[in-house]
Amino acid sequence: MEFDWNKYRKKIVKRLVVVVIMMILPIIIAASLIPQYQNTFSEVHTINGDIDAQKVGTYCAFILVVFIEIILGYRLSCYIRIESSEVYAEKYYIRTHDERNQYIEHMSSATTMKVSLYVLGVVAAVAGCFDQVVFYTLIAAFFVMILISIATFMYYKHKN
Amino acid sequence: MTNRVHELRKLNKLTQEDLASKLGVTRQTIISIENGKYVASLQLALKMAEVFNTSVEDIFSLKDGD
Repeated sequence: MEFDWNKYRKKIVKRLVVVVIMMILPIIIAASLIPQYQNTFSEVHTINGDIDAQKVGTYCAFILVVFIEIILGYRLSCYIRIESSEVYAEKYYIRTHDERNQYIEHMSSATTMKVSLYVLGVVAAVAGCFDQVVFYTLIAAFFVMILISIATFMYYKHKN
Repeated sequence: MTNRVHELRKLNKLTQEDLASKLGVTRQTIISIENGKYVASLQLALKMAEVFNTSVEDIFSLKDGD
């Protein structure tokens, strides 16, 4: 597929809008949820009796939001550069459409899926010795992942 | 699978960067193909044949046991 800057720019502008929405959304969700559940968390759970679980949860949520924002911020900066520079746009296009990069991405995600399933199965078996709720949660996640992989396999089998 | 990409590129006085930009791939892909680490897709092989003005069979060939 040949590189067409104008066509690619239009595509990137759409992605830019999506990224901006995705950047704003976690902030809104975090800002609305944290004060709402602040009291509930602190009343119900405590870790080791002295660390407030609500505080831990809030810090984890904050770190997660910051992490998501950094990734999206990087994407946003790439899209802004693409929008303003044809040279950078072509470099980015080649980098993302390069067949070897796509092959590596494909192979790594396939391997990750297999390893994740194996690890999840082992972890579920180990967790079964300690906690029933954790065991059922992990087993449910395990079967959901298997179902997703079967569904995607069937989809691509019929598509190709 | 063996290939003559390195040889043909030198013959056509092209750098890896030049060939990569003509084919719309990264320089790393050209390096991997030349080193025999990565096998080009049919589409890329056909594009290469066009750039070198030759046939795909002239660039790529099967090794014994392939």
